[in-house]
Formats: sequence, C-alpha cells, structure tokens
Amino acid sequence: MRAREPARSGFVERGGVKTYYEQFGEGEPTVLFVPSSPIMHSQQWKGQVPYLAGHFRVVTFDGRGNGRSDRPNAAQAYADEEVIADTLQVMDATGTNQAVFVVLCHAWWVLALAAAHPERVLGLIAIAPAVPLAPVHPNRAKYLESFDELRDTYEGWAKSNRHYWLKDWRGFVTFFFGKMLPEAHSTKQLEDIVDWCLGTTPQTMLLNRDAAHFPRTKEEAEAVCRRVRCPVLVIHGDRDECQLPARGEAVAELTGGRLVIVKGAGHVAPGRDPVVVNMLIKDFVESVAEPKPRHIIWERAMQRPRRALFISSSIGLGHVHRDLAVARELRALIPELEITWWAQHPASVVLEAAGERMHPKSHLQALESAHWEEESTQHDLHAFYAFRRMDEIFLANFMLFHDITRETPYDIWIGDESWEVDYYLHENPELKIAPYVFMTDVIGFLPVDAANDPREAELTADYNAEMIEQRARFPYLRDLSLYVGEDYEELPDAPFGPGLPNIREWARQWFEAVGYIVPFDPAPYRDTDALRMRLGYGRGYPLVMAAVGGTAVGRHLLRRVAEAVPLLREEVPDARVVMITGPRIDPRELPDAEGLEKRSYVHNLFEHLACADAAIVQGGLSTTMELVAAGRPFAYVPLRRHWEQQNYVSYRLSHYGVRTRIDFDQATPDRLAATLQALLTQRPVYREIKPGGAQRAAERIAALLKRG
Amino acid sequence: MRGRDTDRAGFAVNDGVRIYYEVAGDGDPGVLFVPGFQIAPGRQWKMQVPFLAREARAVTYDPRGTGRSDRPLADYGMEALVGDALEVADQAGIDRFVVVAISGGARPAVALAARQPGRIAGVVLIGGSIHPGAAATPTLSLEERRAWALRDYAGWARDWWATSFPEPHSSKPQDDGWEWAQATDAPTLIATSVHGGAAMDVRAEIERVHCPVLLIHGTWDRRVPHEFAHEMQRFFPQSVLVTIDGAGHFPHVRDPVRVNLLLREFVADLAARKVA
Repeated sequence: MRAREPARSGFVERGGVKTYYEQFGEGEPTVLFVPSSPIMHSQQWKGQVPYLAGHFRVVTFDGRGNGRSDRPNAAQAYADEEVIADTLQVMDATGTNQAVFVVLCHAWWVLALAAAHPERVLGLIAIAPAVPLAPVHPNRAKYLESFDELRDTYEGWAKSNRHYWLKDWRGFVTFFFGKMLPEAHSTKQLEDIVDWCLGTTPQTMLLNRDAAHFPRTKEEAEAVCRRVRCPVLVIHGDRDECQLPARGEAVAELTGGRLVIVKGAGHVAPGRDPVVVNMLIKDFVESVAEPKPRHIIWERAMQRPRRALFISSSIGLGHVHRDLAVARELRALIPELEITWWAQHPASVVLEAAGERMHPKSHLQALESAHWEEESTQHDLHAFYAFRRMDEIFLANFMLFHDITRETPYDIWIGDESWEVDYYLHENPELKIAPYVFMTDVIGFLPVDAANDPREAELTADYNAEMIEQRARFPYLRDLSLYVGEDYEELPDAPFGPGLPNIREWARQWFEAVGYIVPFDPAPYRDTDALRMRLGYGRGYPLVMAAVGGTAVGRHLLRRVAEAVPLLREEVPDARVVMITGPRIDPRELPDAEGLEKRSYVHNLFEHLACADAAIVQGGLSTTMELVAAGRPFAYVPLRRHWEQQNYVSYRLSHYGVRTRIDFDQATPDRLAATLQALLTQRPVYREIKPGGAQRAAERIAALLKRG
Repeated sequence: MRGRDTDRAGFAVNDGVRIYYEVAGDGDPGVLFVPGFQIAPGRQWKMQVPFLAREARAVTYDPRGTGRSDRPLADYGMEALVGDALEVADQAGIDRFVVVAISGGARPAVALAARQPGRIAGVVLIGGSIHPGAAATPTLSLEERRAWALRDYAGWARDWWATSFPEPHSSKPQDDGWEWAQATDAPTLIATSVHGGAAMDVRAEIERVHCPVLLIHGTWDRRVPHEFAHEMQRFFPQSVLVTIDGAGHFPHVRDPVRVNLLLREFVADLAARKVA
C-alpha cells in the first residue's frame, strides 16, 4: 500500500505524447519531484512525497518512457527540450507557477530549465547531479566509448553496452543499481529500483541515449550553472559510483549553492538515507519560501510537566491492552506523568474508549492495518514480505514521529514493537532526544518456507543481521530493551540465520525479561458463571467464542466458523457461538446461522473470551496468551505465512502447554465443529503465567524518569 | 574573562555624542544588537556574541546614557537613537545586517527597518515594545518611581531587575543587572525617559517594514506583557512569534541557548534566501 495517495492525478498531452502526473497536499510553495526518466518513474520519490506533502504542495510526474506515461518510438522525442516542455506543461496543468525542483542525477536539463525559466524555479535541490563539470566515474568511463560494440565478455561494468542491454535488461539494471547502492542491507531499495527500471525497455533507453541532451561540454555546463539565479542545494554521497562528488561540488560552486556530502552514501540517497534527505529538503524549502506568520510555543524546561509518549503498534489489537496495563502501573508509580498515545486505528478506538489522550496528529499516520488487510487473502498473510513492503509506510510514520517529538518535548518515548521508530532511530541515532524504551515479545524474523523460498531465508537473515549490527553499534540508543516474556526458552531455539547468533542467546544478552504481560488479573475470571452473568450471556449452555483481533485478515476464518455452527449444533444442540468480528469486518458480510451471534466490537474482549467454554482464535499472541491465563480451552489457527504466528507464537504456546493448533488448510467447517465439540469437554492444564509483568515493566521504565 | 574577546572596539560619533561599540567575528551577514532601556548596556548580549560571532559579524554597543558611551542629559528621541544605530553599523562595517532588539530597542530597530530597507535583512524583537501603551501597569506612579531611583538607586535598580527576571534561580542575571545598572545613574535614566524613551511610537512606520520578522516573548514578562506580542504579530503579518512559556523580559539572558539557536536559524535562513 502507498503511504499517501495523490489528491489529484491526470495526464498532460504534447504532440500526442501523454505524461502522467500526481499532486499531493496543499500550501505554498510547491515541491516538484523530477523523475530520473526514462530509467525510473515517479515512485522513486516514495520516501519523500508523503512527508513533504504534509508540509507543502507536492507534484510528481512520470517522464515519457516509463510509468504511466507514453513511450514514443523516436529518439528526438526524448530530447531535453521535450522533457522540459513536458515539465512546464505539468506545472501549468497543476496550477504551479513556481516550484522548488528536486532531482536525482538528471540535473543537467533541470539546470537548463532553471537558467531559461528563472520565474518558474524557486529553488533547486540537485542530488548526485550528472553534469559534465568533472570526469565521468572511471568505472563507467572505461566502457563508454565502446558502448555500441559487441564485446567478448559482459562481466562487471562491461554490461554497460547496447547489446547487453538488449539481451538482459534486468541483468544490467540489477548490476548497475547494485553498484549504486554500496550501503549494506539495501535489498529492498535495489528490488524497488529494478522494478521501476523494468517499467521501461532497453529499446526506449537506447532511443533516449541517442536523443539530444544538453550540455555536451564542460564549458556549456559551466555557462548554464552560472545563469542559475535561484538558491541551490547539492546533496552528494561520497561513495557514488555514478557521479563523482566532484560534479556535485562544481555545481554548488558555480551556482553559489550549498553542498551537503553524505559520507558512506552511494548514488541513491533519497532511497537509502530518506530521513536525512527529507529533512534537508524540508529545511531548504522553508528557507526559500516566503515566511509565513506562525506562533511557536517553547516551554522553559522547568515549566514542563513530566510527559511520556507511548507508541503502541497497531497492527492488531493485541498490544494495546498490555500497553494500557503498563501505563496504569506507570501512573501508580508516577501519578503526575502525562501519557500521550501515538497509535492508529484500531488501537486508537480502544485507547479512546479507555479515556486515554491520543496525540492530535496520530490520525495523520499512514494506516498499517489497511496495509496488512491489503496484503492478506484467504487467511494467508505473508507477514515478512508484507512487513518488507511496508517500508514507505514505516518511513512516512517515522517522519511524523520525528516532527511531533520536536514539537513537544517528552521525558520518555515508550515503544511497544515500535518498529519504524526503532529502525530509523538506529539509522539516524542523532535524532534520539529522549530516553527510549523498546518492548517486544518477538525478536527477529524466521522464514516460513525456507525450503521453497530461499530468497525469504536470505532476506530474513539480512534483516536480522542488520538489527544485530545496529544494536551492537548503538547500544545506547535504547535505554531499555524489555522482552515481554518470562523465559527465553519461549523463543525459538534457532539461529537468526546462517552464521548469526542463536535467537535465545542473543535475546538473553540484549534484553531484560519482564515476564509475559497479561492485561488483567486472571483470578476473578476463573469463575466463569459470575462473569457470564455480568456480561449478560447467562448460564447453563455451552458458549463458544470466536474472535480474530482488530484487522480484517481473519474474515475467512470467521466465515468457516460460521459455516461450522450448524454442524456443531447437530452434535451439541444447545451450543451458542458468539463471534466478535472486530472494528474492520462488517458482521453482515458473514453468513447467518441458528445459534450464531455476530458482534462487531465488545469492550474488554478478553472478558468475553474468558467466560467461554471453548474458543477459536487466530494465532495472535495476546489473545492466545490471555486464554492461557484464563485457563480456557481453545484452538488457534495461525495465519499461513505469518512468521510470528507460525514460529514465535507456536513456540511460546507449546511452552505453556497449548496443544490445539489447526492449520488453516485443515480448518474445514467439519474439522472446526469437531474440534470445538472436543474442546467443550476439556479442562486444560497450562503452565502458570507469573503475574506482575506490567508492574515489572513499569518499574524499569519509571526508574528512567525518577529516582527514589 | 569574557566568553569571546572583542575583535575591534571603538566609538561612533553621532551629532557629537560618542557611542561605544564592539565587533566580534567577520562573517556575513552582520548582526546589530540594539539595546533598550539604558539600565542595560551592550554587555547584556554577552551570551549571544560568542556564539553568533562564529558565523556572523556581531556588533553590540552601549546606548547613549550608559557604559562607555556619552551620557547627555537630553536628546534621547527617535532620530538620535536611529542615528546612533546607523553610525555604529557604518563604523562596524556592516552593510546589510539583521537587527536584534530588546524591549524599547524595538522602536529604533523598527524605524531603521522602515527607513533603510536595503540594509536591514531581518528584525528580531525580544520582549519588544513599539508604543507607549505596551507596558505593564506598575504599582508606583512615574513620579514615585523617579523619586525612589534618586533616593535609593541600588534598591530601585535591584527591584527593577528582580521584576525583569521572575524566573526561579535568577540570582546571577539579577546580580549582572545590578552591575550593568551601575554603568549609569538615576539622573541619566530619568533623562532618557523624559527626553524620548517610552513615549516613542513607531506604529506608523511599520507598514514600510517588509523584511522577515521574528518575535520572541516570555509569558512571564512583567515589563512588556505577553499579550502585546500577539498585538505585534498583527502589525507584522510576516512575523514568526516564539512564545517562551515561563520566561521573563530578558530571555536572551535567562534562556540563552534557546534564544541563540533561534537567532542562528533566523540569520541562516536569511542568508539562504538569495535575492533573485
């Protein structure tokens, strides 16, 4: 899912060639992201657009030759003057008189545009500009002259060749952008770029190569740069193998612009260092824009109440209850602590119902649960790939987090599986300006299908390696790493990947275990009769509960449960099944049946599960562990390719003595009915969950805020 | 010892009155710190100069009536104060510069920006006051206050500084204030107020000010109450107002880090805004 959808999109047409554009956000000025076309299209700015559209008006377009734009079949159609004319027409069509231009690599024609049309260019950010002011990178130069010739070998940079392009375009772009991304752990960026490159063809690229581009010589380039009057910012990675940093330096010098060198960065800083690039763009745009009247309130330090920001991950509803339990305990220790919640729907529904204070900008976050729903079909959520494809949502939400933590000073950030915050803080450790607590019950990724999908095994190992390296390099970044579990034996006994540490051993070294956090005291829930009376279910019949958490992923399981109800009632005629669909599934979508009641939301779901004689749930950790705590018989159906439900939750549940796991493929209505019938007669014996997890977590957190 | 040695010091002469100024740093642009009431001389900017001089040319001066500047017993009107500031800028060699003014210094600063738009790149007003109405209502009348200052200058001045620094734990700024107060005396301070001072009103000149304006104002300001900051923002539609919750009248002394960062950012943004 995209982190932000355009407010408006459309096409402009020139000489029969259509160019697709998108427009986001409002307000002055406009930031125009120029595509590096035709090799890439506007998606190359996916890390920038959502954040900057929150502050300015943003326009992007697909250059001719890629994306949704046309691919004319003549070299002259790709000449710079054509692309400049397209750009101006996109500006006209979107009502953009003036814009700050942002370009990666293809700066030569943008500089020409700025020189020829100064009234349209408020400022220019040239990232890794390709302008012939300094030599071509020696690696590329070697094969430039013989680009059109047949070669004996196409190893390495020799791939930069007309014949190789035509033979293996994917091979070329994979090699080329592999070199453009020398930074470790760039698999996702490379995969994205290769995908965008496959949006064009080598034939189109060759037409573009033969088109008239300007300037050809160093002298022409200097003349163009000197004519640029607007403010200029140049950003250049010092490991750029496409454009030598000397080119960026020369552009900055000749235009009187500012130069920012990103050490350790390659050619694609917007993709690989999006946080720093976004902040540079925002600062630059603000500095060239007309100042706007604003009122900023700064509180003197000693004036500030003690404030905590609680980042409650919202993929399901599971964490929010344990977070509320921790918050309760924290308030008992520090009564004056003001807790503000940074959470999204559906967790925000629970928090608001509990009378908690949401951060007023929480709702601006890109919706993670919508992404998970879009990614899941038929009880099948490949959680790792879905997580991986969430990169732009994570980034957009981190940028928002960054902004709100500069607007209000918090005494502490508490993140419950706050993946985006944790990852990007490690990538940008200077942005940590408060004590930071990270808590989690899952540590690392494990492949769900290593045998058939070696790529998944490689990628999960790479993610784990990156996490391990980040922790080792910046151990101070987290002031506390809390493991929500009692015993590291609850974790899989497996390495993080080939040559990587064992998960249990590493967790023991890098985390503090606070015990599993059950958001309620299970003792009163053992008297199911009283509970059933209080919740209005009444006594004297077998009560079955079915719930799938807060997202719509569980729709298919609920449908099968609904189909199982008549079968169950053939054997147990007085059985009643109550189904809690959660806020994102409409009960009307599911079949009706005698003895089946569907409810979309109940307050304190665990109370309802706890009074059931048997329950059927997904493999979400919180819900299953609550059933363990309440001592209820239940079956769980893990999502098919969900690394956490398949590995971590199953490990933990078997540690606590839960035996009834059903794989979705086997979860036919017959099997479900039979399982429920069997569960109704069982009194399971589970390992005890030690109470006090929330209190232990709160004590450790409070120690960061207060002494004595 | 000072946080940073002065690079150059001297006297600017305006209509026969000598104004002592100091220059630190030689970056571009210049920053001219304009003092307000003569109870506080150029040294009140001691927390700003070492920091800003790293990237800009920071110019401070003792206003006429205190410190090493002359102390005439008349002639503290607008023309005199604007002339002093311009003369200092010329002598310090700053052509285009940012004006940072405190309190009543806002009046000559605004007049300067209105009359010299080509030279003033931006204006920062801290606890700024631009007309006679923008002052807290004191418990004592003007006559009573003047009599107190003449009778017991130390007691009056210490009270003045205590009111200016209501923030807890402000003993050092309050002691500094008393030291600065001793660079002048009661008759001179009374003269500054009789022959200019708080009676000046620059509201009529504001419409000619088009440069960026930054307003910094404390919510605990007991000299120019915070409500006037909102009034000022209406006068300067292009302005950014930074309210410092819990700060008194001299945040550049009491909250120097925050004010320094705001000043540097303001100056840097102006520098980035190249004229097309």
